[in-house]
Amino acid sequence: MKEDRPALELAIPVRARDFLAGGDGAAHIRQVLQQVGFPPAIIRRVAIAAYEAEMNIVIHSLGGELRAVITPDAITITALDKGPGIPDIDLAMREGFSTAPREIQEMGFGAGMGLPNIRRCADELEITSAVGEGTKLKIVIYNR
Amino acid sequence: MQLREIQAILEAEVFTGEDKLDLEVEAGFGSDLMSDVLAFARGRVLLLTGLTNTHVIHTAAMVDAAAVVFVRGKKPDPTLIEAAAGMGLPLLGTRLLMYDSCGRLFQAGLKGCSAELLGGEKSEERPPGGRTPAGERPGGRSPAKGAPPGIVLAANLAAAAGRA
Repeated sequence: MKEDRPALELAIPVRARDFLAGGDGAAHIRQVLQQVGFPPAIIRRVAIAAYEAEMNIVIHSLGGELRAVITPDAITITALDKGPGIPDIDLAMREGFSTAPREIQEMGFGAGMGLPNIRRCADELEITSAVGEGTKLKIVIYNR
Repeated sequence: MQLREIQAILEAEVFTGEDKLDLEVEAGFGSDLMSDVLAFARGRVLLLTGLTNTHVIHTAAMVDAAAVVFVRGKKPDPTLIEAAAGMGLPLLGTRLLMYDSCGRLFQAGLKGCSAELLGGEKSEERPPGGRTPAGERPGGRSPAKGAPPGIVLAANLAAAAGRA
């Protein structure tokens, strides 16, 4: 990536268990990408990945932040949270595996599709998690 | 299939988007699991669901859905209708159950999103070599007007994104 390229940075706080506001961060990122004029296919992948990452923070953590770094070449979404962490990332990546409680499923989430959905949309995905501390997801989607 | 035709087939009421019934819908997707919608919906879909919370319209926006039909007589609350109206997303409601709603539409020629899963074609979002996924159409929905505050670099970035 060239250094002279402009970057646009967004940081959106995400509250734990706030199911009403959950998704607003991803919606905001999507809106910004539309205004900037990225191709719809790219926007769609970023929006889906950001939405799932945001809902993961809402559902599973004690709160965190959704960050976006937007350059003409790539969009990087970072989801940071404080919380229980993910003890077994391989298991969490498996479609259908979920630790979300029943009430979350009634809202249309918690079906074990979150991380698999993110992986499907991302060009690069990096998950770092410490049990009892929190989780960091770095999602990169190239504009190409 | 036009939204107007869908409204007639499902004997549906229109909560918002009365002026958008000429919209063309490419496929149907019925689910109460929003994550599955995010994973499997392709193209300008009609989303059929029994959920009436805010995630339905968020999800519809993320996948560029053309419209939402609430099945089983579910009615969204006024806040949700207002939010959808602001997004230009038509909301309809039918008393029919999910299976019957999907069945009627399928019979009338509105296809689902399974084709590429069954056809062995790559179902991944990530397009190989930058190919646009099936059904994606540039300019499908016009960007929202009015820049949110605090965005100073957007103009520069827009120019640069065009070059990339």
